[in-house]
Amino acid sequence: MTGPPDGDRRLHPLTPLLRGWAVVAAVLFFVVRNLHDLSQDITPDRVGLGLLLLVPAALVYGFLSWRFTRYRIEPDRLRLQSGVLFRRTRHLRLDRLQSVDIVRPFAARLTGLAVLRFDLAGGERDTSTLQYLTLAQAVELRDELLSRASGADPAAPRSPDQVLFSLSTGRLLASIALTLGPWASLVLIGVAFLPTLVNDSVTGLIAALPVLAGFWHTTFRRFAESYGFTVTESPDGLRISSGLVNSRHHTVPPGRVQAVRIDEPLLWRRTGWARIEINVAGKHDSTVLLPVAPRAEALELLARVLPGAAVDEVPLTPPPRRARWIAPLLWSRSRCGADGRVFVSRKGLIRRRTEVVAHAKPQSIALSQNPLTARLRLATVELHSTKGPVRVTARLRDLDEAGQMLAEQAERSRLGRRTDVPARWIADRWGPGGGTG
Amino acid sequence: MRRALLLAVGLPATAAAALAPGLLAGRAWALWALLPLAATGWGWGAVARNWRSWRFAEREDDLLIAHGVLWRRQLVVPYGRMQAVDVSAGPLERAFGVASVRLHTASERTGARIPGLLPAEATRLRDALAERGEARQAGL
Repeated sequence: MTGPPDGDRRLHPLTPLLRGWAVVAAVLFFVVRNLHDLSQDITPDRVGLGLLLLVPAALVYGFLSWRFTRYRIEPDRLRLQSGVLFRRTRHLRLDRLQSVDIVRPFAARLTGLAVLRFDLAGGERDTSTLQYLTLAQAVELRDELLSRASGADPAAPRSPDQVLFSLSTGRLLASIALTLGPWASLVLIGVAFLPTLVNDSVTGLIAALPVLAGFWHTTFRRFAESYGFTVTESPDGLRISSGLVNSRHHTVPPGRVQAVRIDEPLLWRRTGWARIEINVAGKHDSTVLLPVAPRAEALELLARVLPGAAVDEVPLTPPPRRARWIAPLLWSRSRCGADGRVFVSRKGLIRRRTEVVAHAKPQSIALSQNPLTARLRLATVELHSTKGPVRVTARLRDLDEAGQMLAEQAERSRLGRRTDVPARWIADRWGPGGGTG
Repeated sequence: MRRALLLAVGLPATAAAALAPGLLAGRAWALWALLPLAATGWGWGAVARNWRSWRFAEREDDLLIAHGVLWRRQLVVPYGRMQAVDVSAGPLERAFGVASVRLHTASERTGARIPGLLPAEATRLRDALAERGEARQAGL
């Protein structure tokens, strides 16, 4: 299955079966959906004939595509080759590699396999996958690629990973119970069911379906996705793994975190919990760094992804009093400020939200006014981050202050970029001796 | 160009507002036409002010773009953050002999655009920006 250390390698032989499973499911779905129209045409003979033709064809195609798919690690790139009729070769340059994730859909978990996903700097088109490998192979390949990408010696011994945070199921359940979504859905479901209880009609049931879907979304999915959430520190960055049914293990390399958001919903305030989400360049999903954690623990972890960030110590100032004409309630809760490393903006009456970005990270900075704020000499400053859930804005600041902020922030980001963590952080930190070309 | 667009929308609106009530409900109602006419007149001035409000500065380390009269926006894009610079000219822009320059960063919210440049100036700006971006390229 695996060739010589630096030669071509193949995927796991079960791949065509697992991939074919998706095709079979799609065909079945289509047939079931159109069952009504097809029912006249479907006779046992035809089904048998169809299967007789389709199954071997699918098997042969699956086998061939497996035969022709191979990958190889070269010193500075990973080469992926695929395609039966049309040969396709992709080169993934390791210095552009943003992250390597191990994803394990349910079917893969049953068979002990895993999918390796690569995100390259630059956008959605640059995502490639290797599916399927055995879990051990996937872990090994990930470690090798990441250490090569970081410029470390791949042969050097690796220090064992250290667990920084792990979420207990009890706390996850408590945190979900302390959000409004599930309860609101439950009440709505109850209301929708009332007619069914009274007169046995199905209308209530039908009305409840979308609410049930919402309940599923707010509650079960959140539970399944955050189940067993663990953050470990490794030489390649923070490893985040979670998932009840489909499991994901992804790595956030140091210095790739663009912006951070800390949310403290009203009901969590009493227990002192917080949730952290991050923007990571080149990754648009799996942006949760911590689903729920005590605030102190959350800030400690935050200081690891944004080195030197002491969010609570940054001096924050409120907007001028006249901002209350526009936001009478929110005005008193908005704060923003900066220290030597990060810019922090805090807002929110019910859900307190803190947005943090390191000075080196904004892509661009905008100051904007609408007719109302212009009249009051107020302005909003936004520090643009890469695609993700976090948007860093300082609302309703005095115009002069905002102008100054724009200039200062431009200057800070200019200086910040010079001292930022370089792309090949290990090689650049410890000199060229640590690198392998 | 926007004036042309404005006239293209404003004048028919005036005509429609004058004719419809004028024919259906009597002459006096045709005065409603003053409303779109006034709006068009105001828009004429507003477009001029908006057009004059666009300005940009190529500073040492970043590009500054400022525009807007009622909705104002100032944008600073560090050269090192630029991922691509386009020059584009739509059919209308081509008809009026202008082009716009667009900057792309890793953030989709940047939305940096300088419209209404002469094609030669647009090309020069693109090359200058691309060169500076190359010199100051920073990792993400």
